[in-house]
Amino acid sequence: MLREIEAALGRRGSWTLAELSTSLDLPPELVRSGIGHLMRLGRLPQGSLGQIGACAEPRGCLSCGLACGAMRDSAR
Amino acid sequence: MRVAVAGNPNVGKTTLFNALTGRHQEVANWPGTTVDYVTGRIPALVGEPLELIDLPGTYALEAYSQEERVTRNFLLHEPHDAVIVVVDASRLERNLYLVLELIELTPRVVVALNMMDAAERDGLRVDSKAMSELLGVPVVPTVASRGTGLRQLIAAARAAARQRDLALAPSPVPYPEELRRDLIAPIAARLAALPSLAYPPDWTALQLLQGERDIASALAALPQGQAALAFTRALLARSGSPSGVDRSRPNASLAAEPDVADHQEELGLVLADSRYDFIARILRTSVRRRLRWRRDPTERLDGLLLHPFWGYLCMAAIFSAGFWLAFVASAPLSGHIDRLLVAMGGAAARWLGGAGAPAFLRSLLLSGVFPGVGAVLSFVPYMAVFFAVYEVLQDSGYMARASLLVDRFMQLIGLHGKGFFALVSAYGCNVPALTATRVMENPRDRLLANLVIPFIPCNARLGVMAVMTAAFFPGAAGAAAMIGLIALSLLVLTLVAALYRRTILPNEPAPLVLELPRYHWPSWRTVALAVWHRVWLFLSRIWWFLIWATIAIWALTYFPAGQPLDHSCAALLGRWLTGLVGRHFGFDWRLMIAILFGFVAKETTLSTLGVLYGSGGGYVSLAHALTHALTPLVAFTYLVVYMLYVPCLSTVVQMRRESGAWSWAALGAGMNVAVAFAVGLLVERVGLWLGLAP
Repeated sequence: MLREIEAALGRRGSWTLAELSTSLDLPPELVRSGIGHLMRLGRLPQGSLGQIGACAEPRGCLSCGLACGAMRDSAR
Repeated sequence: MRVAVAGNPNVGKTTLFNALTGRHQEVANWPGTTVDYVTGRIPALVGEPLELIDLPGTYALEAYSQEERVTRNFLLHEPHDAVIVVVDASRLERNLYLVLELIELTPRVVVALNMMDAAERDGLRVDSKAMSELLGVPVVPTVASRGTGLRQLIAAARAAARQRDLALAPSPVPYPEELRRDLIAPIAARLAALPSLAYPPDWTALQLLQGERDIASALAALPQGQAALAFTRALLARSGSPSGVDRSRPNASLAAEPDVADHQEELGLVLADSRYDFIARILRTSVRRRLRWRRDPTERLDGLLLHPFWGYLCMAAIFSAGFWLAFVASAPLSGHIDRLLVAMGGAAARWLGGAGAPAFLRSLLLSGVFPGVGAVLSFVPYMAVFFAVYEVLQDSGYMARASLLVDRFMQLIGLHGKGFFALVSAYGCNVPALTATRVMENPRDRLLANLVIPFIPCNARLGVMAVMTAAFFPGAAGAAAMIGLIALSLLVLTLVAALYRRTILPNEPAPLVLELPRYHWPSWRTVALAVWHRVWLFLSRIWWFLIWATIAIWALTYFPAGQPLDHSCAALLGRWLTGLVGRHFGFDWRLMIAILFGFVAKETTLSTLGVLYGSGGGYVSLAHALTHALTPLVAFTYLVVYMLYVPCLSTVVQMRRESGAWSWAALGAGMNVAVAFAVGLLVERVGLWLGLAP
């Protein structure tokens, strides 16, 4: 599975977790866990899997008014 | 009896531990580390009392982190009678890896299948008996928060602990046969012959194959340990690469010979892969999912909205509709504000005239404060509707999809996937967007994002664009003009990024996998509150700054006192700039002054234009004044230049901070100016060629 994930990421740089798990015919949780493992092994850079959502701290920046998109590491 | 409790973080391990031990707990620190651990006792009515040791939460036992090392060392060196490994029944894919590693290390393992209630809520039915058969250890379903299954768990742990002579069973993981035959078995056999080996031979062989340094060091200290290591190295050097494994990655940290180190890294991957394959088999056999293969509404919608062709078409349609709504819905309200300000300006003029106020004060209020602040206030309805549209898209989950579509486009030009967060943030303000590039590990990726972010029009630039497009292109044409401008900024950004990638910042972007939130109906209350909050935040932040900027611009237009506006300091400066650059684009001196002052802060542009075009009479709306002073072609050309030219001072300073050198900041700002005027000139010439009035 790990090698399949590596191969898929080698073919294309940008995936959603749903697309990748469908492509590999594996449950998303298993793929997420596998990506986390590849990161631990140093075969993928840290932060290779992230969850998109609104920034939780829009007032923490310069308060431009937009709650921007943000990503948090979701490999674990 | 001593029983260790292990598990991944956030699986309810502490809840289970507390439920079992109650108040009978002590906190201590592992020697030589900052890792805390807790011990607790379960008093027994019958038989031996049980001491529980809460090990640090870990995902694996490969000693990559201090917690993993502590857990592994406890299991290797500290006396214990059994291990309870707590797993989250709703996250088995992630949790079973540690179970497999524990089973290979120690013979008396009991699995606590915790959070069964959460698994059932998620539509999962876990067959603990089938799982137990595959793993070869007891599996006990529990809900620690309710105390369910704890009695059975402790009974299973006691039963396991009593089997003190139980030998370690062969690993249930189906490692490749050639690996077992050629490497694992001979190395384990050689290790088993060592007189003082304290670790299970099979497990030790697996660790050596993966290049575990700690284990190799411990082995080297044993009598005949060096010989066993040499034997392992020789086998590794002799054996070929496992099929399908990439041997190109260098890693010299695990063994003396680089070839052996490479091989060990590959083997680590093969071993982990085998464990995940086994986990997949366990899940197929012991977990039933309701609705697993049925596409839910989010999947169906994503099929369309993330489609390589239809997805971009839908994105264009959604954003066009959003901008159109912002223009159409806000126009009447903006008109009301303009009329109110005109009436207030007239009343103020009459009152000041009647009260005999000095000329400079009348000029300051009527030609400075009213037009300057009024220009910004008339923009508030556009901003409010724009924020509402943005919030609906964000809250519904669509904005994340749009980000992904933009990201795919960006990846084509070599911009790192994480760059799009910064790019989306840049539509709010370029400064935090530059800060957001820090999530990128590679300095070249970060630098590239820093250099192209200023091409994204920030909130303040969008405000000027909204007011001017609404004035010159009313209704749907305004929305189309806005979309066109933003598309142009993305095109320019793409070309500039590609230019940087092909010249001074070549790099292959790292892969990125994204998890998207589910779609849901936005809460109108949340949207309303967010819009109110953001509008207030915007106004309160710029208020004092705006007043001072307005006064400064007014002073430039007022002095030398008594002279007409065309002979003011502002006009002299503006005419010089027009002669230098502006004349090629049809820009008058007022537009050039607004461009110049916009460098200090883009928020001042509207007030500057308000003062410059509103001077010399009673208050008139900025939109009205601009449409009488400029042609649509000049206005559109101005917007193109304004959108792309040098970012504000704060952004340039932040570029220097992020890039670490003024030279990069200067390069970025210089590129912005050059590209802005070049594209502006192109737009103007195309307009003239099409027969538009200059």
